[in-house]
Amino acid sequence: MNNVSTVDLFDDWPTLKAPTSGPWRESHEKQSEKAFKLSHMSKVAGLALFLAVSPITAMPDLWLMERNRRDAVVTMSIYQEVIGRFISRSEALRVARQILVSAEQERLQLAEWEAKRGIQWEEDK
Amino acid sequence: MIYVFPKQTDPIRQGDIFIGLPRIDLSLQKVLLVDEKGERIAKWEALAKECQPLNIIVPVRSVAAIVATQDCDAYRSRDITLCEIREFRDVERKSRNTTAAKSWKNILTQHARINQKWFYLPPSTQLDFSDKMAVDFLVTLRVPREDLENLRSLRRGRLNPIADEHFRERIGEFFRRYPYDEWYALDEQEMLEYEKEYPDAGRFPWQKVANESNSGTTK
Repeated sequence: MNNVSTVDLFDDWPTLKAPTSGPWRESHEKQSEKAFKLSHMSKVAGLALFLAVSPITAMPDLWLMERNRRDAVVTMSIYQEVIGRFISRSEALRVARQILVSAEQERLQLAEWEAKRGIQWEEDK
Repeated sequence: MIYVFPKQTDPIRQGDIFIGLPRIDLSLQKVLLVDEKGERIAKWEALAKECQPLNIIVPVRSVAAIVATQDCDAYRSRDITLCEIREFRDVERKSRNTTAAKSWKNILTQHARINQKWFYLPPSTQLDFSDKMAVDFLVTLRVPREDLENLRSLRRGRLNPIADEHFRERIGEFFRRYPYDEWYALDEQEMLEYEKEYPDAGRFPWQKVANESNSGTTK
């Protein structure tokens, strides 16, 4: 028999009551009906308030975290798909042609620059 | 001249000359993406972190090229590297107006004295080289070896043993070069002359010291 079972078995144990002193103590039997209703409403309001503010408690909300993570993944996926600017097929082909021509011109320009340096063999004519 | 013509069944070797291989040119500023959504243009900087393969449009030109990969690798590696062959006048611009044989002699034999970025290939009707040509070591192509073996019909010739030995050493020397500031050993007067042509050349500490000490002696 473990401790939990022991508690269950002694469920009828007489409730311990704190000692009372002073005029503030009212017995349950003496509470008015109105007071009872007010007390009940305040409990309901307190429960509602607790439920309302529960997401901002210090406890990590795993469901919220998972939803945020999924949202981030979706955002990243969309972001990846829109890298670059959409262009027409004809513009793409025109740019490709331009890349090739530029590369060839730049190689020629480099050769020109190199030719101006070093030994000028034409001077030997 | 300096060429031999191997049988089509011969294996690919360094110095083999192909006519009609694809040279691809890329721009990292203008990457042309293509997928099912259409074509887009982007900078590679924005794509660099992309782990998935991308499909892009690249321009390609059919060019002449010579095998740079050494024989062992040309026999078994997945890819073969070649260098583009272009007209000599476009590779070595000092010769753009050269006509005299003496000037050509000086230009074409300078390899023995200076490390050039090209390798000379004389004209050849069998290779369809109607003018002087040059291997441009700066422009490389990479093609799959097996594909190239299946395209040996495009191989028009090969360097003969003398030229092949020279080519092997030249390409080795080219890629063995290291960058250095050529003015580092010039004295004060030489440096002044150098700076007239290259004003951006920054002096080394010992050249500044020489300058100051020279200034001191002239006082």
